[in-house]
Amino acid sequence: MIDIENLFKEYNGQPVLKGVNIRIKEGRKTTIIGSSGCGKSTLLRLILGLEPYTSGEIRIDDQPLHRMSETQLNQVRLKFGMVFQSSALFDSMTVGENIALVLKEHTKLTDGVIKTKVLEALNLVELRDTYYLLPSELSGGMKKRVAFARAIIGDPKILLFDEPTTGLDPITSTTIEDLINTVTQKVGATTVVVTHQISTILRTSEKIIMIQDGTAMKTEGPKKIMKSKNPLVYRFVNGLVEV
Amino acid sequence: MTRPDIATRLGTSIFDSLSWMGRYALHTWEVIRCLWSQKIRFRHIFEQMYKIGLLSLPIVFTTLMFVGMVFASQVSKEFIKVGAGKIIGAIVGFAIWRELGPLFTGVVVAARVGAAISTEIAAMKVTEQLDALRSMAISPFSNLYLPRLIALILMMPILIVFADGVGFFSGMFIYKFLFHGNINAYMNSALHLLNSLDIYAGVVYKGPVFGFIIGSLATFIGANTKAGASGIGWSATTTVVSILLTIFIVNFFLSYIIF
Repeated sequence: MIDIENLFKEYNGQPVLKGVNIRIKEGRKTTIIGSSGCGKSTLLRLILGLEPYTSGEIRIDDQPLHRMSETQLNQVRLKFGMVFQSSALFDSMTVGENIALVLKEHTKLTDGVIKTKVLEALNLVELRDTYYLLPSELSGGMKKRVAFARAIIGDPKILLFDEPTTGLDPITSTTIEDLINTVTQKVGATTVVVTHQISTILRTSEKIIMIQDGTAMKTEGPKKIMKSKNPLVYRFVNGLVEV
Repeated sequence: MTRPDIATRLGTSIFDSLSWMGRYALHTWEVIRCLWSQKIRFRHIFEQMYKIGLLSLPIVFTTLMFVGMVFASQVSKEFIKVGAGKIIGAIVGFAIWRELGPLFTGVVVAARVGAAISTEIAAMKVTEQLDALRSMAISPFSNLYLPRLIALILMMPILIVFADGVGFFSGMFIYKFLFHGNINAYMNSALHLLNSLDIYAGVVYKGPVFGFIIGSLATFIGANTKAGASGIGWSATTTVVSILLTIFIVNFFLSYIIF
């Protein structure tokens, strides 16, 4: 479970998050929406402990991240798998090495077992033939799927997705959204998706939270959000400009 | 908006410099601490030793060959005029072994390796690869920075030995073929006038120190780059300038203390 209480984050004195309160229950698929620059990606980075927060608290399974050392944070991070907005594949490594890295670092599995697991993960994202390719030889959508395979290889309890479908064509977006649904169901992970793509919001969410003016507000579920009673949410999901 | 006065700007600039140095010290300490707190990745160290050492040999060879040749030709011209041709070997040896060999190797490695390390790490930061590593509970300090630092500390002395040899013997080549000097006289003067400290100090003391400066500054500046393509350019320029300035300043103090 992820518990976020009264979270504040500032950059050079400029507040980005101003008292965010969110509770994400185990096994749920939560989507965080909001306009560009509202602090959605920042929130994911704070959940992973990649940046310190100014005040408030984030608890992962009741463990507060505040004042944890990097070693303690690493123990918490092992519960997570993250797909970054830019995919963030290591360009000096092959696809196979990228996915295998987390297992090589944190398990005592033999190279043979690791390779089998990597191929299974690649199979799941329908990219079995890319094992020996370099990230520079892949398209944007393929990179996202490899990043997805890398995120799930360690059987994480929580999966974080930062803009998983932004910049992709509608068909590739649908493929990624289907993957999020099928794979997370298969591994039973809690998912947090940060996005402003309507199709992703509608297809991958159980619960939707909107970040607006640095605070979080609960919205209707995916079935009703397009007709939301909250004017801010309604305008956002329908792409209406305020007049 | 009014422009801040000169005192404010000076104060800000001093504060920024001190803060930069403090962060550099913390970064370097964190890298060194990995020696006992994290797994040492020998495979990564050997890979870096190959990239840093072996692949730098051609440029070190070319640079020191011309440095040795130009130095020997200038010295020979003047020394032969005043009848001091017999000590040219020792003069070239002093200059190459004590100063020019280590210093020019430092400059070449700073430009070739320092800039490469810094831009590689900067690019990894800009494309979220450093964050991806951390998100997988893998420390960039032990995985990226420490292997590069150790490889530089180990390879700089070896490169300097090579550079010293190339510089000294290319000087001998010029002395013999352009000034019709005697090779025996060149070698004898070097053997008699140079002591062992002159020969090994550059390798044993300056080599590891220069390697440490290049490795620590390149990884620090790369890891603290600004976002975007301009950030990567900034980190390359800042790395080379910072390393060169630091090496020249440190070299003065090392030479003063050692010799």
